[in-house]
Amino acid sequence: MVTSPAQQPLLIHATTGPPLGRGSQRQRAVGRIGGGGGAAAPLARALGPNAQVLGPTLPAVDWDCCTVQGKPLRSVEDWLAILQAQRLSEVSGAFVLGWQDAAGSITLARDAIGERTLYYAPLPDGVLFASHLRALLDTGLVPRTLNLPAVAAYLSYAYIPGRETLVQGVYELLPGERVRFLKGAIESVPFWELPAEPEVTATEAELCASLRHCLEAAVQCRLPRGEAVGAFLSGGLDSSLVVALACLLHDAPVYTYSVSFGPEYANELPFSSLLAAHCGTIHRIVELSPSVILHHLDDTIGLLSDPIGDPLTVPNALLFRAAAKEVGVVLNGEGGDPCFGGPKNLPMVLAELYDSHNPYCRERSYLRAHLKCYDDLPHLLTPTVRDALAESLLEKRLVEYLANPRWRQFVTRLQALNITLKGGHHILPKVDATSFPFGVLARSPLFDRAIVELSLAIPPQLKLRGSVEKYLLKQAVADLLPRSILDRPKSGMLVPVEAWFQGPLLPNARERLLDGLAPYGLIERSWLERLLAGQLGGARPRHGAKTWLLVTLEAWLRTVFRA
Amino acid sequence: MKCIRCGHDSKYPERSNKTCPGCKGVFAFEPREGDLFTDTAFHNALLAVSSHGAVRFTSENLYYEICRRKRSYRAPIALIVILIIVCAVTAVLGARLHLGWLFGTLLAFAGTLTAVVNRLNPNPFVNVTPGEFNRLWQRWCDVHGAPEAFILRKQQTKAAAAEADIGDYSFDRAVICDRDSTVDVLLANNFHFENNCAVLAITGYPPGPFATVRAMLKRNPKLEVFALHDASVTGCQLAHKLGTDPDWFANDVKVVDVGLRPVHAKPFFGLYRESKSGYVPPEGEALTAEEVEWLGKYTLELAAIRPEQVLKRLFRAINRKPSPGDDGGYDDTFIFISSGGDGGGVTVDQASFSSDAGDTDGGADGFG
Repeated sequence: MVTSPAQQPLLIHATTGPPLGRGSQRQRAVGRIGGGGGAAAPLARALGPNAQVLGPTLPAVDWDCCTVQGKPLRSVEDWLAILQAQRLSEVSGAFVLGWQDAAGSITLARDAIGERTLYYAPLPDGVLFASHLRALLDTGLVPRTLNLPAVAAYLSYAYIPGRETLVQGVYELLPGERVRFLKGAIESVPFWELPAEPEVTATEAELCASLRHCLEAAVQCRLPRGEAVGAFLSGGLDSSLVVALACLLHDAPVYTYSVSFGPEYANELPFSSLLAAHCGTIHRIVELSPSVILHHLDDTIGLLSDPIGDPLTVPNALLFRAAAKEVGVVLNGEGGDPCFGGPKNLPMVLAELYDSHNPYCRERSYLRAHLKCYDDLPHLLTPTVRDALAESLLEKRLVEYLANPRWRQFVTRLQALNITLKGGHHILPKVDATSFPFGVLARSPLFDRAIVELSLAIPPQLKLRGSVEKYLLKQAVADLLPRSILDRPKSGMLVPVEAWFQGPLLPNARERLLDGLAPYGLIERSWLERLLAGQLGGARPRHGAKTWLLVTLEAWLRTVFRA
Repeated sequence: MKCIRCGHDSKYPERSNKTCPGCKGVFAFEPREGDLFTDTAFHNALLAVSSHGAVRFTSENLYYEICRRKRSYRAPIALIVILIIVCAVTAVLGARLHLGWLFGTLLAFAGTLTAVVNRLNPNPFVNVTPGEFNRLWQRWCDVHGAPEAFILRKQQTKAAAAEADIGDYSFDRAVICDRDSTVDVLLANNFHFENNCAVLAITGYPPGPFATVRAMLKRNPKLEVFALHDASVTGCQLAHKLGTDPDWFANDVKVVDVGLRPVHAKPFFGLYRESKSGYVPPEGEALTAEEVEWLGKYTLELAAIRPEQVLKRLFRAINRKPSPGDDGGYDDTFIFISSGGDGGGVTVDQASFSSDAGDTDGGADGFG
């Protein structure tokens, strides 16, 4: 453990700069992967530094912090041995790979939780694949046709869950999935699944001790020995405990980074600063103005394979940009909510109590819980998109998750659903995509495979104890954190989109939505005009969040789909 | 009279059998034959009460919207009559008067007459009987159908088999109402869901989840309870009952009264009902002397406030915290009514339904 002398946080006023990643001093040692389709050259160009295009002998693997029974995988040859021994299910850590076996079939695989991701387009005689969807489009082998039902999914979730993407004929590997392509045939086999509920549950004390042990192991294996490490610190429980464990276990300084949107907006800085001082980190507060956010909006969305309408995308990217100047590895607290009983569970419990009689009512509640445009869909989608959307398609796709008999208890099923969909198709792809251009390795200890497996063995009543969220997690780290962090009221990371789009970003939003998005014929222009005028009506119309969602969609269409 | 389907504006002789000459659609109402409203006016009432279809509403909400609109009809009719008389008198006097002076005089005169008419005949009570309203509403539904935003209370069926773990959790906040219809408005508009907040009525509504939800609430010693009610005898005692009744929270938790009280009633003059209760309890822990006097004569139902405003104000009320001063007191927003046990107590939020409540959406910045 290394403590730095107490010092004031450094306030960094983020400025506009070159396109994200250009001129970056760092590169990841292991780059992106791609292959198939006879498109080696365009793939190599599109995939960035240290890209690996699949050859006939060795696999192409993008990996980080991978182990098999505690032993790290260090080279591509190690991976070949794992594949040949069919031991993929034993690998923990972040990876995606492509491998061509002796029979000529191509196998693609994605790690159990989804810390890396991979996109593919089946071809008549095989498959084209790449770490980034735009690399597939740049080969010219994939028609640029929008997947219209996925537009409705994006507008409801703010990301695209599951295998589908916004491009017809392009798919995303699922976490824990291995797909084999041979002569036009596609075989998909999961090599790992979320564990079912155990028949016998350990005691609270035993589970607490196991959890603490797993947390320390998950953080320890992600610390870069002998060099400084960074960590994003929001001031919430999850990032705070990761920072505290990093400070406890690391043999070099810990830098922490927090976001501020300016003193006029509500923020969590008192908590993050308190925790930074408590742990003795070298603390930076990165202040982001609306003009800087706007300047780098297109850059950031262009990094994403599918649009992600989470307002934190651009702030995350700019935080990685700041961190990359000082550290090469950045930890975060992602995973705490889906694994340990975060927000959105209790609203689903309420929905279950009050309305469990109508068809698809719990599926509708789940979609509504994302607080995006689900209830607006009948009014905002044009007939073109509505006609392409089979009746209750979004709801039907959730049935298998919300009724999955692997987990007897409702809240456990919700957690499995959130780990699979939100973790695998929103949070983790966002973290990887926004860190890659800066050469930074972003690591999420709370999404460690052992942590996820243990979390599903913990009864939900120890995660949501009464109305106390993340109860057992708090117990496991109670000795590390100040009481004010443990006991603080629940909150999330607020991005002031309402104020931005009523004020400085409104003119730009008008241009992007009315001139940029409306011509695609996906969204009714009249609805866009009401949104921009703040006239959607209702008790909580959330104009700002919805504007951000649609601005992101327009930026993605322009920078990824049409680029 | 304009048709709401095709927009065609027809004169009475053109409308045979209440049919629009433009699109042949049927009118629900014909003012020339005694109906209180035109279809357009009723449609506008529906748009207003539902915030253009964005907010769900009950028949009680619509009733008060109709009353509100009928009340405002009196003024223009009086104005028109006065203007006609004055124009006739002016014409007789000749063209000596300057036109600008003439119009200014007319307007001032008409405005004064309107104010005098209303002041001489102040009526605090609703001016449409429930029977009249039901006839209007039934006719509207027969011709145009009920709008999607109308809350139709479903027959309570036997609850589906509950998930095994559902009752094991609890909530931080609960809104307890005096009327089932208020619960309907909150649930239909997903207030409970969006604010992570249980919603029940003191009556035991909704019957399906009531017992389970109340048991879950009683498990949380840090529960915040908000009482939402009419300005009525029963309503104004709701918070006190919740804070003292052992079947509810009996001095274990803090109860905040966010409902209507007589102090809020003035802006809603003209929408009162007569007090139903023959007995008004004396001044005491639940009611002040002024409230006792007012409640002996009047009732003001929460349904008189448009549901969008109720939802927005309730959101703000449940997210507002009292600011303890150095002496442990509360700011002017809250009236401390009674002291409870170690954890209990009842406070009244004065500002929730004061006329200066703003029209924001309660804030909803994007979460990551």
